[in-house]
Amino acid sequence: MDIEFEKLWRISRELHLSLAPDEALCKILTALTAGEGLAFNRAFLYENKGGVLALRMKIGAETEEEAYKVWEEISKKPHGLEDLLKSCEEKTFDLEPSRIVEIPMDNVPDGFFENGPVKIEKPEELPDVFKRVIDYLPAAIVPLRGENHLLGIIIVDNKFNKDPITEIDIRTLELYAALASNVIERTILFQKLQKKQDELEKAYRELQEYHKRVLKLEKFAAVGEIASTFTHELRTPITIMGGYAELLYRSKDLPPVLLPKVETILRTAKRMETIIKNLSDYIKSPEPEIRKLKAKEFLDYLSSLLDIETKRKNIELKLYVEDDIEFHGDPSLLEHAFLNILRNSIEALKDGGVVQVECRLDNGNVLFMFKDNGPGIPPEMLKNLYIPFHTTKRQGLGLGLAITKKIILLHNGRIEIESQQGKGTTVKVYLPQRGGDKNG
Amino acid sequence: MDKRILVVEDEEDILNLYMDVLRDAGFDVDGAENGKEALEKFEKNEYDLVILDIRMPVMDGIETLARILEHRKDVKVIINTAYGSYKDNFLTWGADAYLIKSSSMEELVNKVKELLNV
Repeated sequence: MDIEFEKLWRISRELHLSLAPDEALCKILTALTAGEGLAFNRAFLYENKGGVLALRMKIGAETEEEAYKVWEEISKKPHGLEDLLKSCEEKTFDLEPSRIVEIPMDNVPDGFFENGPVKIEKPEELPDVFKRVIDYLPAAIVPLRGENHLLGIIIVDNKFNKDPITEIDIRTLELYAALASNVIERTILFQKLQKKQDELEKAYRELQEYHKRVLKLEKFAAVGEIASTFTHELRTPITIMGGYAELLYRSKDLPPVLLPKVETILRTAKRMETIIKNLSDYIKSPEPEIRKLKAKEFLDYLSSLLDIETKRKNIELKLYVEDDIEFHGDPSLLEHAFLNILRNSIEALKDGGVVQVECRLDNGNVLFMFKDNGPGIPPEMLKNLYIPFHTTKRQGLGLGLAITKKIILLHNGRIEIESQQGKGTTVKVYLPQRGGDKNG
Repeated sequence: MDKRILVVEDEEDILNLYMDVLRDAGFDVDGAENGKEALEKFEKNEYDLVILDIRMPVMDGIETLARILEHRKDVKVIINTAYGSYKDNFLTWGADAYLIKSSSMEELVNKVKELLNV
């Protein structure tokens, strides 16, 4: 077998294993400079970037001294050509900005790249446009042609051992250029393919998310429809029941022994009304009226609303609020949401305990953290926390957290609940500091 | 006190409840089960205040209200309904108050007393 042919065959086999652009280019240049390869001293690869040839990668020593040092080292621990090429797989390539050299294609003589590699031996043969980048002659300028345009060029020389560039070298370079172009085009195609694949994967993920959201909305819509009929139909009978109970309760003719019984009917009717009202609130989806609020003031106010409940149950409500935190929100909606969270904690603490409220800035959000040291939420309950009508309480419709979440979402915020059985529950509410509305 | 009130309400039990409660509070009370009946009573009698449901058969509350106001501009009107959604409109219809149906009879009686200054 012809030596040159065998070399090219071994290089080709190795080059075709690379699909990453930098790795492929590194192999192309390494094979040009390896002793077992084409054995040039230096190789520079310029990439065609829309009318400009920009230096993309180079291999070869800076000085003669360095060149001999490198050759000596390589001869001490002999590498096979394949090993040398494989070393490109671990390299990273960054040209310092000062070393990025560009050749404007407009100034290249017409047809210069049409006939394969060009050997230049005398300075007067070198077109002006290359004078900035070629500092040693003889050199060969090798065009890399893609299917219908120039991919780039390679420039090689033997600056350090001063070997001539022979006609055989030029013919080998011509063959090698075809091979290298092919490899480069493959990497470009592969990159395009990968980009398309990434786009497809992203689109698929988005579609899945969207599908999930639609399912959720449908569920909410169904719940809303049922609930709306339900609340309206129930309101009238409850009104009648409660109304008569109230009338009886205030009547002078009611025997005192019946008073507690009537009172119970009255109280029950009120409770039913509260359930209906909560349900209506949930269905309504109010438009928030956003105002600027001071966190400390707001939380102090909430804490004062809970004074009686906390004292009665021997619960300590501790506030830790960073000074001067301001945020945007609808005070009455957020009051409803936060009271729901706090009342859940208070209810969970059977024999007293501590409820801690912390407020601080977190990545452009205002974070409200509600912590209790209660019994925690059983894991099987955790995933159903926000589902309407899902409750373990003896009283209540299971709408508290569903409403809370909806309010937080209306503020473009989010809510997270972490709970450890026996240790307690932490509810985190993140509200955007800039406010969830268009008016800021 | 001898203020007269007309309760217009198609749900018989509610009608009776309101009449009982308002009588208990000392008012002279009449009832009508729809708008048409209400207008007939209006032609024969003088009322100081009307409590009006919105959703009724034969003639609904809004039309009834308009017709009543043609007769007597100074009558006080309370809209009483199970719906919260009309709440923004009652003033433009010419009503004086809007109550959402609830078991709190106290609220109803207080509102009536407030409008009649008693």
